[in-house]
Amino acid sequence: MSGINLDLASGKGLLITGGRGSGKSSVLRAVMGLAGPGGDITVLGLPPGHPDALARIGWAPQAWPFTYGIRAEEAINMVAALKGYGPAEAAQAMKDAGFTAPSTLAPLLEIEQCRQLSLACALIGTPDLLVLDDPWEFTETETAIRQAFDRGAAVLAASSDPGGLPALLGASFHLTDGGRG
Amino acid sequence: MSPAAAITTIARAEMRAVIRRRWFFITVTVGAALIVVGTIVAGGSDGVPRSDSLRAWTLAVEVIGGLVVAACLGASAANRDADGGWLGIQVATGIPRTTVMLGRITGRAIALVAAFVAWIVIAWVCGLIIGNGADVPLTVTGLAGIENMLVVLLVAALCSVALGPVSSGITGVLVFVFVQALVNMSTAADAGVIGTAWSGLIRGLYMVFPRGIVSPMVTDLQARDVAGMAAPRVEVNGNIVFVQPSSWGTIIWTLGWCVVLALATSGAIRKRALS
Repeated sequence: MSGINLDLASGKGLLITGGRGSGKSSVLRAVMGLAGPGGDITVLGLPPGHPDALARIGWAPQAWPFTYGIRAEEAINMVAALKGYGPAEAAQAMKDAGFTAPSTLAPLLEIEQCRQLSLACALIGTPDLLVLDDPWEFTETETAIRQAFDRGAAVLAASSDPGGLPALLGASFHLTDGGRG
Repeated sequence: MSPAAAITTIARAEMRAVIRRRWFFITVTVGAALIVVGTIVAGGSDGVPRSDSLRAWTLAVEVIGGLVVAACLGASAANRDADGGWLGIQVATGIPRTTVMLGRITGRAIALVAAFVAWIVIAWVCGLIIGNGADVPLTVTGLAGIENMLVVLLVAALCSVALGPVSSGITGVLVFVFVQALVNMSTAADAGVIGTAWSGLIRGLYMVFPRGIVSPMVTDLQARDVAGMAAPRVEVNGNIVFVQPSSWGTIIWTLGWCVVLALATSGAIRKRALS
């Protein structure tokens, strides 16, 4: 990836668009410090992947990220506990994301439920930055984004099928083959 | 959150997830069923042969079933969840990668222990039913098996950071064969039944690498050649070699290797790309 310069202020949103393999998820993973290109990246005033920054970020990965064998509520309770929250906050996040199958095993989740659970993981607590990889346009997604803006949090998302997200997030950025399109 | 609390939280989730996997359930259940079959077979004889038979069956389950469980648990410790996004979710909570990986390994190690405990308990119950009484040597052998398989799990886990599940699992099993062979060859070297040049090399390797743990029960069964395929009599250059039970030093040495392997795996994950 090259030639990408982004600046996302508090209370603002940015949507990265592009086709499959264009590098959208790589940008998000680089912001999260999980993988991807290096470069000069600062997230909430800290290097990407810094534990103090990650603790303030709500991360919703794409596709089917939950390990085989775990129940939905176990997954989100674990995420909540690791972020310093309890089952009550986990339950609230599931409610906010519209997820209603907490006792279901991850491999048995429908793809819509999986996207809702992924969103719920990001909504635990009151993150200062939401990073949403391929968010589906549920009513709950739009509500979560608006509530994030209301409390001054930033939202960074990536989608190949953006629908109404560009208008909701306010700004967008198109990638083609790892660079700005 | 403290590192200990984070490790506990991740280990609990990991253990729950792995013990629900079909292969784990099938391996533990088939192992338990084979111990029951062994009990029925043993029930057809009396005295020492009865005891030997049940012990040999249980030992076979612990070695073969233990290898399957340990290799599979270790081989999937990092790779699939790193590519699939689950490991990324855990790391994205702000818990350091090394702590996350220690939690994952701990959860899998507990699952391995749970499999062995299930087999040990069933062997105890079966032994009581056929009148063998409480078989303490069999329990000690189970504990030795746990340590041996912990090495397999951790080697496979270390490999899983960079390799796929199949390669990682095979590597874990090969290391098990290697460390068991080192024990046998070291004993042969001590008995003077192999050449001087080879003896030096084998003793050197034995001093450095993790060592297979041999229980007194296995030594006894091997010496009388009644252990079956799980612990056949050792023969080197036409000479029968009597492997001795592992000393406490050997047990601690191998446990030390387990700690090193766990730390190496946790360190290796720091540079791994996660989804």
